[in-house]
Amino acid sequence: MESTGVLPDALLHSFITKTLRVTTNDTRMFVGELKCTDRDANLILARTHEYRLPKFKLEDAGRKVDLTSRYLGLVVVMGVDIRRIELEEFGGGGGSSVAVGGDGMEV
Amino acid sequence: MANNSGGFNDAFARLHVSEKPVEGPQTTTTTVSSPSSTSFRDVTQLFRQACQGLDVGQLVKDPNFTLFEAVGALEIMDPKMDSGLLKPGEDDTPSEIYQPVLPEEIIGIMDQLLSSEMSWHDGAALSQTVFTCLYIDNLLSLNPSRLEEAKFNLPPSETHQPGSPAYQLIHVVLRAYCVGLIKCCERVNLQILAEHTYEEEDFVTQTYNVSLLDFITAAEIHKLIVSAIEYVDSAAAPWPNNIKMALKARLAFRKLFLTELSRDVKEMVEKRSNWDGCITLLSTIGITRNLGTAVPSVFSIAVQRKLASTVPPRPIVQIPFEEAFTIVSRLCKDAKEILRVLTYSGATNLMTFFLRFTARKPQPSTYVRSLLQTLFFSNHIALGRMQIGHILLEDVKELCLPADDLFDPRNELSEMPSDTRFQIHQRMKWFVERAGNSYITLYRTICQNRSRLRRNLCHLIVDWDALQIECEEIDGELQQLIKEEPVLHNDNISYAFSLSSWVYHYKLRQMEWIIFLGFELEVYLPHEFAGMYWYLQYFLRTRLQHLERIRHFVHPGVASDSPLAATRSKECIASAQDVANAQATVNFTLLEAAALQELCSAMIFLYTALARLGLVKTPPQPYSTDAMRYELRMKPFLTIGCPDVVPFEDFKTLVDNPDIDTLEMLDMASENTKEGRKNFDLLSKMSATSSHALLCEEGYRLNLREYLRSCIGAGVAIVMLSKAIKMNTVADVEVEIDQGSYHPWFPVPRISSKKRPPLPAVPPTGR
Repeated sequence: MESTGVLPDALLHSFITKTLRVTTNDTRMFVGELKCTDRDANLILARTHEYRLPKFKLEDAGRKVDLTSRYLGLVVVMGVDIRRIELEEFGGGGGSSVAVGGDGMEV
Repeated sequence: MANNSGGFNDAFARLHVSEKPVEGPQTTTTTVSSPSSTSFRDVTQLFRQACQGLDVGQLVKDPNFTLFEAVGALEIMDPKMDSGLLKPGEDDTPSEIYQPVLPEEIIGIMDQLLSSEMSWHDGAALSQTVFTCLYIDNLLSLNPSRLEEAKFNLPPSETHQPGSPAYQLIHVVLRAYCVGLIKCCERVNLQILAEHTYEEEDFVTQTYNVSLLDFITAAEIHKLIVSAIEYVDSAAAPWPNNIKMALKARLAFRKLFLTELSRDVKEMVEKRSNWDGCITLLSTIGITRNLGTAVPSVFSIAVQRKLASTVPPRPIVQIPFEEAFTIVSRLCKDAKEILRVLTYSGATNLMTFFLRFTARKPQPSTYVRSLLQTLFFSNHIALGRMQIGHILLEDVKELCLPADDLFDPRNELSEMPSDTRFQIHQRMKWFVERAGNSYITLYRTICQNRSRLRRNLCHLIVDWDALQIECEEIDGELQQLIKEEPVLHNDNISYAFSLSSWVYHYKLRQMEWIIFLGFELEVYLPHEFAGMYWYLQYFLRTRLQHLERIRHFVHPGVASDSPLAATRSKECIASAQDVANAQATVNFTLLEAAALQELCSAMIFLYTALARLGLVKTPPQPYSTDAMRYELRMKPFLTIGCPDVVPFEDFKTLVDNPDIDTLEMLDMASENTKEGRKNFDLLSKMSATSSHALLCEEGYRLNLREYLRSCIGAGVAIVMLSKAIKMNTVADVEVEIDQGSYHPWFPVPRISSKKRPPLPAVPPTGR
């Protein structure tokens, strides 16, 4: 991580307590607050909701689709099972107004 | 986060530029679940690279998060933990629910649902039972808030044209049954949540955020079920009469069951309960059971995938119908039986009922034990219409009969702080409040499961011990206020100390229960039996002495011709009847305690003899000693002021009795069993009134018979053992401790010769 000029754990620390959306290899998504991670990118997420993509009515894509979600609480997702990790941002995702050190992001 | 450097902020900003949000198949869903002001940015690459910079075993974590908490996390993709995981090859699309055509199948589903419901009553979670039914899931999945919405949402089918009997079967008959059943679950859950029970231990109240038709009234559901019954009865339903009868019985049971579960205490006091109706209908359900055809395909574990659950998936639990039928029948009978407490007939009777009812094997269901707590005390009212203070003072009077002046209703009217009456009233008020709380807690505790009862009693005795000391002080003040005359007792001049005497008596009983429950719950190992019975015998002897003292002080009342009588209001003067009652109660309690003490003494000698002969062995205790175990057993009693815990060395000598010969010891044990038997026989001859068993005579007598069986069983063991010693055949003797066939508080060793088949247990004594 020399190229970015920051220590890797400092960068990871900035993700702690942030809300992540993690997509697993079976296409489910888990949205929760990052509590802990390690070298293998195993994640512990708190206050997690599970979202499942509907397998039918794909012709509706392009419109908003209601995902069925359910509350799971504290979960562990293994790094090997993770397809994608996304960070929740406020303000539409654009601009440089990302509050890196800010707290209080809610699910 | 505080130590993040400014350079890091820059880095993050740069990264942000390079890592544009990736447009993917998920974009359509991005804004669905989150507030519109937030979005997600793909950080997969960044995250993974950063992780690779960590050392093996290095963790990056929230400082407030402990690894201890992490133990409770659900592991996603682990089939044992992740209820949302699909099995290989399993499809996620909800499969179509099988729609039965035959009424037999509907009967089958109803009976399976009853099995599921009773599995829930028996301790499994809704996610393992009722919720696994696809019809229940279908009905609840749209979260109905009105009765019209509480219906099945099934795809049209050729065999189920609207209006056809097959269609009506599902959409009228099964729907009404399911709606009724869900509402029954809601009522049960509410009742159990209202009182103290142990979640996950007695019962699982978790509903996974699914509303159990909370907003639909029982009255509406009533009508729905009635119209379903009418349909089954009508000519439009083309089924034979026995099928109609089976369907109607199930629907009608659901209706009545729901009515009973929805009653409040007020209605129960007014005697409007009709559990008998439920019991009658249950018998019809039992008779028509064979008409049903099971449809296992309408139950599926896949439903758990949708439930908001913070616990790992759990397997489906569906007990066999016969078992479910027993549970529901027992529930109805027990729920009917506990209504007896509403016919109040004295505090001691009430206590006997609670003790006998909750000691029943198998224990009454969680629902019934919760309802019993509500009946006893809710909204500051006891038994639906009484003040708890009234019951408390009756309990005191029934045993100790304190001086009349304490209960003079005129005390309350006095408002002059210097007036004696006022001062007496203040102290009695204190007693009712302070002891009233402990008294209510005791009743509630008796309603808990047996292990919790034992555990909680260990805490309660500390409170009763403190209460005893506080009451002694109040008793001292009261004896001055009423100018009590001291009485000569055991060569000492003494006062009655009525209130603290009553408290002490209850405290001693609770201490006995703790050890007795240790036997019932099989806490003790056989080599500890002798010691634990010694303690029981010690507590019982203390209680006997205390009862003798109480008997001495039972207030004889004031002769009506004495000048004092004129100064009292009539209703507060203890009648000759009251005095006789209190004396009878004390005598009865003395006899009962004496009988128990004899049996305990016999057990001490018997088990000590067995230990001496090497027939009950101490297992190897590599990390423990007898002294340490003794300390552990005595832990609940260490803080109790009176009676004292005996030092271990003394205890050992007292139990082992090294000076007494084994044969002599067995002779003494034999004497004890004979005495005990005599006392229990006397108790059996007493009427329900004088035994204070008016509310539970059957259970009370059964309990006495079990004591007698233990007495007889111990007698037989003593004879066998003495014979073996005399004939020098101890080496051929085998001992097996029988926990099941005798009183649970008095397991009896079964002595048999290795050469001969063991003797059968003592047959039940005459009914």
